[in-house]
Parts: sequence; structure tokens; C-alpha cells
Amino acid sequence: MRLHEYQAKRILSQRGISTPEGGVAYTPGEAHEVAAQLRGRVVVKAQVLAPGRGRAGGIRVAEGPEAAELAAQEIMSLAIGGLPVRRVLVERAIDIRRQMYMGLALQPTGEVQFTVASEAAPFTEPPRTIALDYGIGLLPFQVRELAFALGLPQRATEGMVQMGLALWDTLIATDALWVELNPLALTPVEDLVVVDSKITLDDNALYRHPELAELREAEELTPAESEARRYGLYYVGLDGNVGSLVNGAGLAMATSDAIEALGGRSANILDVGGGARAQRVAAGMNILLRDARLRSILVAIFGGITRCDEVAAGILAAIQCSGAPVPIYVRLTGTNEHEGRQMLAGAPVTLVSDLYEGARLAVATAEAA
Amino acid sequence: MSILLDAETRVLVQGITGREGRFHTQRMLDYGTKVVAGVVPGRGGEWVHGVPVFDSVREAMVATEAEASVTFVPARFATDAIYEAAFSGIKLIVSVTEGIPVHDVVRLRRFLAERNARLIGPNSPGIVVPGAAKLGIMPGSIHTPGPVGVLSRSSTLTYEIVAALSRFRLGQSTVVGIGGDYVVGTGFVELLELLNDDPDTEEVVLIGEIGGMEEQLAAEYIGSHMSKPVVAYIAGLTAPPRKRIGHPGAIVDRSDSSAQEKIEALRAAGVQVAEHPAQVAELLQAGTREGA
Repeated sequence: MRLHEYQAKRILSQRGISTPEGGVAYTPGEAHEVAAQLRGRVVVKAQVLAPGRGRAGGIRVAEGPEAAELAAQEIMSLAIGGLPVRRVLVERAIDIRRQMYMGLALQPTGEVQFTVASEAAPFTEPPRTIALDYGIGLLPFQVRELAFALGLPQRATEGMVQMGLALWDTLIATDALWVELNPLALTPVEDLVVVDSKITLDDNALYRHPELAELREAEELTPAESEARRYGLYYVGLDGNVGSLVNGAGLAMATSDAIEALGGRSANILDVGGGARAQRVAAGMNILLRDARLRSILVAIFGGITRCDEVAAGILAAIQCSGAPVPIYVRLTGTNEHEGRQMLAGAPVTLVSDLYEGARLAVATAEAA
Repeated sequence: MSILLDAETRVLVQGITGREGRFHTQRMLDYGTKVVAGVVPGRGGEWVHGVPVFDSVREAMVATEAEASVTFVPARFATDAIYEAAFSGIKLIVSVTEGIPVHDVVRLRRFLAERNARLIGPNSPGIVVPGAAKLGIMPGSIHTPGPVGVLSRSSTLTYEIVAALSRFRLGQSTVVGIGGDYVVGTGFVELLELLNDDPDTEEVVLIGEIGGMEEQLAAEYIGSHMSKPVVAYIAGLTAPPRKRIGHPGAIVDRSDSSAQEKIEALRAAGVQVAEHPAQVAELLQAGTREGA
């Protein structure tokens, strides 16, 4: 799970990492209040989990409370990357002498990569990277060596060592997959201050961090995504017109890939998961049947734990509720396949025996429509 | 022959009295797997489908000489169960459990490496040696014995492709699901090494997806060491960046993890890459005919 900047900074400052003073505002009036407390020049930043915040006008400098309120009002009227801006971070503006980068990333190999760069990402010159042993962690000399290589003055070098060690503690203590400070600022008095930060947490470990529970509430989902999540489905929206419902993430990706490879355009990746009962399948089908963009639907099920008769019951229930506005192609194979296919015999769906054949028909229908 | 297990391997089921544990123990027994013991703390002395249940792995091993473990234990207790198996001397541990924290898996990997033990998973559908034994939740009915080794990150795609292989009369030597998590206990490379040395494996199928770098590591190994032909399928060409697709590991978050780059790395290593799952069997068959 990706964290908002203000959430990441709160976690970092709790571990002794220096971040600018500031606060979150949910209304322009609140932005005024925060700016009034800070006094002087502030930065108002959209808190939205989408890239390209700065380019979209989501970061503004303001000279005082009134200017901050106005900036907040304008930023909160934006949609960045399709997401509305619901909150802004108001922070004291920092004098920056130099912008750098520091990050820790847990690798799929189990090593942790420590990266520093003499500029903020995206880099024009290559960053400096070392692979850390997970059991030993980050050692002071390792940070010091890199700080010397960046040509940091003595005071900032020691600051970077402290910050690096605190960053490692953060990664371990929060079960994070990835922590980055970008940019990390060197101020005229040689302090290091985190200007922006990204943290990605491991969803599987959230249960042992009750103090991070509120972070989930701030997550941003489209309406279809949040409906899907309520029923335990995975839904990822794409731009096309062929909908597909499958069991298993790999199969979901493969089905979407097949649709595109056949010249079609996939509208989504919808996975009902393993062992889905009729109700969950019906919820997934309803998301598709109500999607006005769709010109055809492909259901591709390989029943292992999932039973094909449960899938068939779910499809029937959804059609009864929402109708069958577009052609539906169904490939049902695996556990209780025979029962499932029989149940669908009289339904307004076309049974196919092969996934690729189903994809071909669904694409042809969508392109002809 | 096969890799990892065979018809004689003595298997222990951790969490045998749970719904999934009970159900799949029956399926494993039906398939011919030698399930010799179950472990559930506090349930020692019970029996499940004729299999004795013990309070601890150590007790079970003393009584039954179990060699391999499959864990059907909820995520919050699974890490402990895997450590218990490894501390007790089990050398092959299959974890079906979904949702084990990533940092736990990293620590487990380090510990197991010291113990010379192997974790398959977590979030793995298991291992099947067709006609001999299966550990985990894969449907046994789709497999047929033969010379193709199958390694996969995705459960459903494994079923999809294995079923197609069987339809094409391309039997399998060993089928292993390594799991779709961000960090896994055993990666493709270790298993490719085993298949490369397995006299009963003639060809290998590699099923990958977006996220992580297992496929790139596999490509490096195949390019320099693999003596047997490999056919691959990589899912997720259409997956949008920064969105997790079901599996915790399936996310295109950094430049090294897109499906296209994985496909290119594998092709550069001499691997034939299928464009859709059913094509895997076609490519294998074409390759066999050419060779014959």
C-alpha cells in the first residue's frame, strides 16, 4: 500500500528524521489556520496518490495564510491522474542549497538496496547503490562512504549517517517494502531535511501495525474498485470495451493479454479469486453488466477450488438482476464443469470450450459493434 | 524420477484439522501421497482420514519419520509453523498460505538456507509429481506423467497450461508453483538447476508474470547453464503500471519488472515465448517434432 506524503513524513519524523513543520488541511479554511501557525512562507501540496502532482499544478508556494487558503482552494478543485484532491499538506518552505535522493528498497531476492544520489530523482547522472545484507542492516561506514563520494560537508555527512540508520529502522519497524526521500534537501546551514517522501507498506503485515490502520482509510479507489473490494474481488480498470471475469490473477492477466493480442481492447482485469461462491461471482458480473463501455463479456474460469456450478449460479443471478445487455461468452472448465454448463444451457450466454476461442469471439463482437 | 519428492516421500500436514487441511489431505491421499502425520498444537491423539495427529512437528517426526511438510495454517500463524518445521529438521516445506508478511519470508529464507532446508511458497499451489505424489492444492486430475518440467508463479495459469499439455499428450515430470508473492522461498533458478540435472525431464515450461525479477534471473541462468529447451509464457503485458494485480508480487512498480522486458530477456537467452497459454503446448510439440 502506498502512503500519502503526509503519512510518510509523520512516520519518518517519529523516528527522528527531520521533516518540515506543517499540517494536513481538509478545507481551505484549515489551510489558512495551519499557515497562520507556521508564519512566513509556506508550501501547499496536494495529497493524492498519483504521479505528476507538480506538473498538474498541485504544489504551490504561498506567502501567508490568505495566499495559502487561496492556493488550497485552487488545488482542491483539481483532479490529478483522475483522482480528486481531498486534502493538502501545508508546510514551512525550506531554503534549499542542494537536492539529493536517499532510498531503501527491499528486493525480491531478499537483499535491501540502499541508494543515494547527488540530485533528486529522476536522475541525470547514475545514483550510487549498494546491496545490504538483511541480517546486518545498514552500517554507518557504508553511508559515510557514499556521503563522502557525494562531496557532502562534514556536518551533513554525520547528518546523513544518522538519517540513513533511522531510515533502515523505519523500513524494518513498519514492514515497508520501499522508503525513499526525494528530494532530500541540504539547507544553507548544512542541515538535511526531507522535502518529499514515498513509503510503500506490505499489506500483509498491516495487521501487526494497528497504529497505521488509519492509513488504509485514506486510500483512493475508483467506485468500481471499492465495490469490488467489498466483495473480495480484485478489479483493475483499463480503457477498452471487452470485459472479462476470471478466477486467479495470472489467468486474469493472461485473458486481458489475449484480448489485446487479438486486436481487441480490454476494459478490465477482474479476478473473483479462489473458491468463489455464487454471491461473489454475481457481484463481479454485476460490475461488468453495469459498465456502459462494454460491448462484450468473456468469462474464463478454470475451477480447482472454485466450483463451476457456483460460478454458473452467480452468472445466472447477475443476469436476472441486471439483464444481458451485451453478448456474454463463457468458458467453464474444471471442478463440477458438467453441472455448471448444464445450468447455463438455457441462459442468454454462449458457451465456449477454449479460452482463446472465447477471447476471439468477444473481440470480434466488440469490434463489430 | 522427479525433483523435490517422489512416491516414497513421507509427508506431514501442518494444520490438518482445519477445513482446507482436512479437504486437501484427503485429495493428497487419493493421489497416492504418503501422508504419514498431521500436526495441530492441542489436537494430538486425534485422527484425520486415518492419519495420526500430533501436537508438535518434533513429536510427529519421532513417531513417523516425516521428511516433507505442507502447511495449511492461517497467515498469522504460518511463519511460526514454517520455523517449527525447519527447527525440527524438515528439509522440504510447502506453504500454501496466502498473506505472510514479506519481511517474515526474507528472514525465513536466511534461516532455511543455513539449515539446508527449502521453502516452496508461500502462497504456492504446491508440487505435483504426476502419477506419484502431490503436496498442496493443485487438482491432480489434470496431470499426466511425462518428460516436461513445469515451474510457475501463478496457480490458475499452471492449471490452464498443464491441462493443455496433458491434452497434447505432453506429460509432466514435476510441476512446481513457486507462489506469486513479492519474495518467495525458492526461486526459478534453484528449480531450473534441479530440472537440468533430472534425467527424467527433457523440456521445461516456465510460467511467469509481471513484478519481481524471477524471470530475469531465470533468463540469465538459462542463457549460461541450461542444457534443455525451455518454453515460457509471461502474463501481464496489458497490466497498467503501479497497480497490483491480485498477487502481492504482481505489480509493475519499477523499470525492471514489466512483462515485455521479461519476455525480451528470456528470448535473448534462447527461450521460446508463447503469446497465449495454449500456445505453450504447440511450441513444445513443434520443438519435439523438429528434434525427432
